[in-house]
Amino acid sequence: MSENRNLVLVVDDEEDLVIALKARFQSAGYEVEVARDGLEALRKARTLDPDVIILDVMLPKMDGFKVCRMLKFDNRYSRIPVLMLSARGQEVDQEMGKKVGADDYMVKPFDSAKLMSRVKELLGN
Amino acid sequence: MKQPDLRWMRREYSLSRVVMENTLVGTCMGLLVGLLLRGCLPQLNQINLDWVIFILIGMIIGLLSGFERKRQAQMEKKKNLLEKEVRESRGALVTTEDRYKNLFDNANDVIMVLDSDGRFVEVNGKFRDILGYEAAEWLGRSFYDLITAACRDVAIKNYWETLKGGAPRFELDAVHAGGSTINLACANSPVRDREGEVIGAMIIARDISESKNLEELQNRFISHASHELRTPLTAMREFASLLIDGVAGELNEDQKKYLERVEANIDRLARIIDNLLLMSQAEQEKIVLDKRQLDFGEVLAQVKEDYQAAAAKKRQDLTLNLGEEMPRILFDPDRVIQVLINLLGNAMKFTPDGGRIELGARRDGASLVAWVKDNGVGIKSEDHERIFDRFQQIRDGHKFGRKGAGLGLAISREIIRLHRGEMWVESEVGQGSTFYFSLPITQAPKVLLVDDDPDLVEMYKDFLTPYHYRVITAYNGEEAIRKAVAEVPDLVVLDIVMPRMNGYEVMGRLRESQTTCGIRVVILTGYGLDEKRLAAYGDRAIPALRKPVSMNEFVKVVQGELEKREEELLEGEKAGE
Repeated sequence: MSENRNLVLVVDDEEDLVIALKARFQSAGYEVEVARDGLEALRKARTLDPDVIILDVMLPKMDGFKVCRMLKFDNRYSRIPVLMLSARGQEVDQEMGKKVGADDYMVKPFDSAKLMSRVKELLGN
Repeated sequence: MKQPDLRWMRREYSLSRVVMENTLVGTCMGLLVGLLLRGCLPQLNQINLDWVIFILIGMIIGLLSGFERKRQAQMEKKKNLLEKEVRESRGALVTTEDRYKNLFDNANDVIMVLDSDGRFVEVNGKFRDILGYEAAEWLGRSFYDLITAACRDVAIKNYWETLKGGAPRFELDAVHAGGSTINLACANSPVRDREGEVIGAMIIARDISESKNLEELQNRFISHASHELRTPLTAMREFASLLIDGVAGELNEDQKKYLERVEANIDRLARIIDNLLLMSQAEQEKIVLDKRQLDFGEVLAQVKEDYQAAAAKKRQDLTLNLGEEMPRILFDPDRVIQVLINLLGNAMKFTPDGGRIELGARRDGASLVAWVKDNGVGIKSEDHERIFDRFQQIRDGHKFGRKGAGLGLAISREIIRLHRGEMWVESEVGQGSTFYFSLPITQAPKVLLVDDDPDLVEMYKDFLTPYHYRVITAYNGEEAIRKAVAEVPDLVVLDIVMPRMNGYEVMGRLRESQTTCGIRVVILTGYGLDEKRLAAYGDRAIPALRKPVSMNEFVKVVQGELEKREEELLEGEKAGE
């Protein structure tokens, strides 16, 4: 069972949220890796091959939309499901999320139970 | 006591004096003439008839000449008076002109007089103050060179309206001499010649850049603040939820209960931020609906599911009441869910523990009516309209805050209004309240994209992907007509230059047929437009997009035309009823 554990890459520059999400996913039996800026996210996504990526929009060095687009437009990584989290609840953001190929999109603050069930859905696909 | 008017006496006196003087002179003259004619041989004792005649003639001549002199004097006086009047009025004329010139030059707004081709004829002093140009360098030049390219269509449309005798008001952006953009609020009025023919237009333009900037600043601020507020809330909520779920060890009942209150209040704060952001967007008409074709019943069931637990905590009985036939309708699920949550939140708050709340929907003619019904405290009838009024709420914020209805209702009604629906309440104090809203039952608009270049068609299709329209495509004129007849789209985006049958011909054919003549058309062109052929398509303005067309422009025009089509269809339905 332990070698089959799903790996979640959590990308956020808010240390508090990273701690909370890490605890949440670990308690639900996931393995967690963390990236704190866009470039680190891209690097870790490519090297660690995570099962799902939780991606914030506003990130240092490279924003989440760009990270998502670079992964989704690359055949090698496009199958990794990406769930975008944004503190901006504007239509533009959701549209952007769709345009760059994000698999799901949630607005902060989110309901943890919903987040977990959506992640499960993404892993099922 | 009134003084008797003595002026007439003086006048009579002066008249008779002149006449008497002349008569006297005339008599003397008669005497003299008589004496001379008698050869200076007077026979004084003899009274001759001749004398009498001479004296009489003299008197008459004197009398007449007296009257004549009087008449001349009067005429002279009249003439002087007239001359004086003319002099005075000429002076007045000069000052009136000065006054208008003054008004023109010192008006607070830019005033521009243009000829029928839109060239500058005259501008006032404010032109330089606000736009930074010398007036002289613009006289004879086109008004359209003064404004930004994006505003040209607006300006031309309104200028035509003015030349037809209208007086439109509109906003546009002008380019300052220094290169910056100046937002102008314009009021046009026609300039007419003596026969009443319109020969040009006068534009009075006010600089509204500052208020525009403020608006923008406010919007940016709210958007930024909402982002900044959400970030810490997210972390707070997540930690509370981790504790509740026992990730950091088991909690006792009270600890869990209190943390759930923390969580609920964080959610409430997040909703308030949502509403604030939405309201700022609504005020600037920036809410864009992301409509999709969905089963409304499913959405309602989902909301009920989400709130079941919260209702159970208050021992409230939350039920769902769906009509038999729930149509799939076109709406923005996120926004409508927000409305439902606002209404449900209020219902739960104003219904005592153990109360009943019902979520429901049914079909009602061409609309779908949904409701949130409670058996709570109810609302006084004089407040039935007031609770939807955001300004009222802001002013009486505290009072309403205690009553509980926040910005939520104003925003909810706005969202429903944007869907072309209505929202109202039925309620009695002590008997509970039912909040209703209606949504029109409509289908996703159908758009036909026509271009002989398949890559471009693909690109236009991509532009429209986020909007969930039903998109059909055609790659030549014949195919376009075939598909338009078979599918009757709401809008055709039509390339003009195509082999065999060009866009103008396609438009002509569409117009000939009963089924397709109501379809709206947007033109795509790489060349200039043949205005006459466009005009032949009908009284409707045909928007034209110049290639290469940007995504924003494309989407904006398509959305605008689809809205007009929707309005026409709604009007048609009303007329048909």
